[in-house]
Amino acid sequence: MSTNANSWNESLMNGWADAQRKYWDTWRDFASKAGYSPLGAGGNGQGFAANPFNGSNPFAAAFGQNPFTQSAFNTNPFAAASAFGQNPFAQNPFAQNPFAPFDGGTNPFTGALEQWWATMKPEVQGDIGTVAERFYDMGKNFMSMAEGLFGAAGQEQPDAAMQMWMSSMQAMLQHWITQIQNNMDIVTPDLPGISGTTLSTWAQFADSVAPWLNMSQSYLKDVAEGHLPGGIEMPGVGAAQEQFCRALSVPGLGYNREQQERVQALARHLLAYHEALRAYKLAFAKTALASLDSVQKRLQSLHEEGKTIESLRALYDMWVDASEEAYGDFAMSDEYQVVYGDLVNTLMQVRKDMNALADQQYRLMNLPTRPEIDTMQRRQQENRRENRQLRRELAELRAQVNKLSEAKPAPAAKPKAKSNPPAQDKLPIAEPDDDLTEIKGIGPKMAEKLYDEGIKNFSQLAKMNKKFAEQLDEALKAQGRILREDWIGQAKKLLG
Amino acid sequence: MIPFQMRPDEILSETRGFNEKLAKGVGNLMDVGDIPSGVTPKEPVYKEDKLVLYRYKSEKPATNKTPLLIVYALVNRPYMTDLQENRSTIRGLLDAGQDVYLIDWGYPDAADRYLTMDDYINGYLDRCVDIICAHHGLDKINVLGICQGGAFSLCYASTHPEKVRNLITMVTPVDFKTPDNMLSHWVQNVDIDLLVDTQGNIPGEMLNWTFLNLKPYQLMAQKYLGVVDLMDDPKALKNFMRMEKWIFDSPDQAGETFRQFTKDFFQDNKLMKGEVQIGDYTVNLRNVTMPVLNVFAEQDHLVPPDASKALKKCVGTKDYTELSFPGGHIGIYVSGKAQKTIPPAIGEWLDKR
Repeated sequence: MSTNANSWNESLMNGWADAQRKYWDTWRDFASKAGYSPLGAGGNGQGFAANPFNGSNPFAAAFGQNPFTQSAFNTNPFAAASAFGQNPFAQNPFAQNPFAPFDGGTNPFTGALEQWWATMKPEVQGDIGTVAERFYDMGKNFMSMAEGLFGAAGQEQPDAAMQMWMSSMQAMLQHWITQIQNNMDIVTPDLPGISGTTLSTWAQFADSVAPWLNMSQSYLKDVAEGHLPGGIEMPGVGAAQEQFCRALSVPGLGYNREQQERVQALARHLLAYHEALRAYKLAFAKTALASLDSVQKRLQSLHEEGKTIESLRALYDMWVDASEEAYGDFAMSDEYQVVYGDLVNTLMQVRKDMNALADQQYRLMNLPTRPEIDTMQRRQQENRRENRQLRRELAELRAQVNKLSEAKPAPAAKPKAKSNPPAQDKLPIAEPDDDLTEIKGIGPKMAEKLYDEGIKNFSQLAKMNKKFAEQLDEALKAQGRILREDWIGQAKKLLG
Repeated sequence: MIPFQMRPDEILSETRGFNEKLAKGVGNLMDVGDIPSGVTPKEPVYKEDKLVLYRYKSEKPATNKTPLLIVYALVNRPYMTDLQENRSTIRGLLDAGQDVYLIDWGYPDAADRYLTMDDYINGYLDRCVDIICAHHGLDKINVLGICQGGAFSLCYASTHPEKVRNLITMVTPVDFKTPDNMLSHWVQNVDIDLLVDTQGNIPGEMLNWTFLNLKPYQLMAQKYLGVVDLMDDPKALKNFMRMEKWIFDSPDQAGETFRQFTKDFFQDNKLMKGEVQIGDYTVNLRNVTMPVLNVFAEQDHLVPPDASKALKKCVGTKDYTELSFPGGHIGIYVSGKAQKTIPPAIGEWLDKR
């Protein structure tokens, strides 16, 4: 590593190359461990070895030919591979990296990291892959910062480099704000830097709940260009919003009028969503500027205390703290409450419209629609709730009935104290049936009759009082035999 | 003048170090293996729909004869309370002699969107309480509610006071409109009916996005950098992954429950006003007459301490105790300090009652 630090030289570049080589070697180990070699024959390793660090502008020359630097700037491996490919909300938030110098078409640090990740990604799947991706995203943020500083440091003193980097970020944010303020296009550019990461998670969410947003873009584009659904052409309608909105308010005509109106409503709501997203991003960008001020203030007070920042991590952490603080103020503001609510509400409105359009198609195909399923599910849940309620009431009533029927023959019954059921269980434990023909006077026929009346064991007979016995006698047409033959007494004897 | 003193070679060397650590770390990450959802042995004692009621196994018999039912929030998963062997609130409660049950609500799917708070509280929760009561031959048990589960427990205890012997609320919001409540601040302008009517269930990703955005820079731009430094320690990495798994393990929330909870609790603060209607019951916190232990975290960014402490003025009980912990919403379950203090304190409080 060079000791003459403030200028670019070959040994410095070689140091970087060494670092990268090590890096790739480590990586290759994993790849071979996983039995997979995406580098291929004569891949990057050779590219590096042949890399001549001797151009007049070593940075551009070296990395211009460096296979690693065919980086995400031009061809984002994620964008191509993923669902975000066509989603304008999910543009790579790093594409306009404020940390990188303005004219820096090359991005060696993050480029390497990106390349590494693009090849690594298929190796790490599932939960681990998701977490690894989070590491990667954050690492890239960190590297971006290093890059910005490094690029600037090549030409200036460290503190001047820092100043340059800060100014370039400020300029980038300002540029972005102006761009979004003046932008009359439908789709707004993404916010750069760390704040962009935060916003891109919204994009991912919007994407995950609304895969149809992509589709809606093409709808919108068609309508914007004057091709209305149903083959209606509206020449002269441009993408300028005012005209566009006017076009969207034209009443529908003819047979598929309803469908037209639905599509128009969708397009209007989609515009509203983009407007809300724009407002949200703008508010966010202002916060990012505020955090930049806060970083500067912190640096200033460090300077006044005679302290210095001596690692990228320390700088990054300070940056994060300052951003969090500025964001915290913003998030508790009335403005945030409004832009956040609008963002969610407008997205939901678009989604609702899309659902209605989809349902229209399902209806035509005689497939079940969401509202139909909703109705079924709601009714089913109501039934389940009612069922539970009825079952509970039934159990309570049953317990009451049992209590009552137990209470009735009480005077004649001897309190039996054996094996009590648990106190909380109100259902009496059923006693086993007895052979009633053991009682003198009861034959098989009479026993059957008694069974039909619910008298199945000695203890039931034993508990009977006189009045109940007379009633039973009558029901059985036993002509007074129950009392005469003393079935009650016999039953008591048999019970012991 | 900017106090930044790094030469390009130092920048290179730091980034090189970072790259190497990250590359090695991801290798270790691939070797982490399966992450269990909870570590203490348990057995299912009751199942209904997607709900499972668990009873935790302890090496020694419980000294407190009144069982303790843990009611977790619907967001995230209850194994937060049982993350790793030496960081388990459940283990701590078992060690403190409690007989611990826990409701795992499961992962609702689209067919569960019409589950209401009535279904959760007067249905699922009440039936679990009945089952435990019947099993132990008791009329009432102890209930410990966590976060949203704490709010559910308050509703339950106020409408079924005859079944709750002691109530513990942990990091539980009561006053949803304290000035420092960021979540509540955000949700005031959201059209909840439009959201639920359109979405059905509220996706876990959306809830997660919201929670992460309470501190986005720390949680999305800084946390992992710190972890890069400990990625060469497989054990530390595994522990990190447990937490990571938990944070992103967010079930969807049943649409109708989300509707009522967000509108009545967050937007209209009805719990404070005694106006929450759950099925046939009106929730009046004055009816919470059993002893209450209210545990909150002093640095809670999700449920600010004041949101919890508001309970003191609302409950009807004369036996009200507060326990504050110097930590955050999650730290109160997983930090080493919390492990040493919180479960034993809960056990002691319960044993006295």
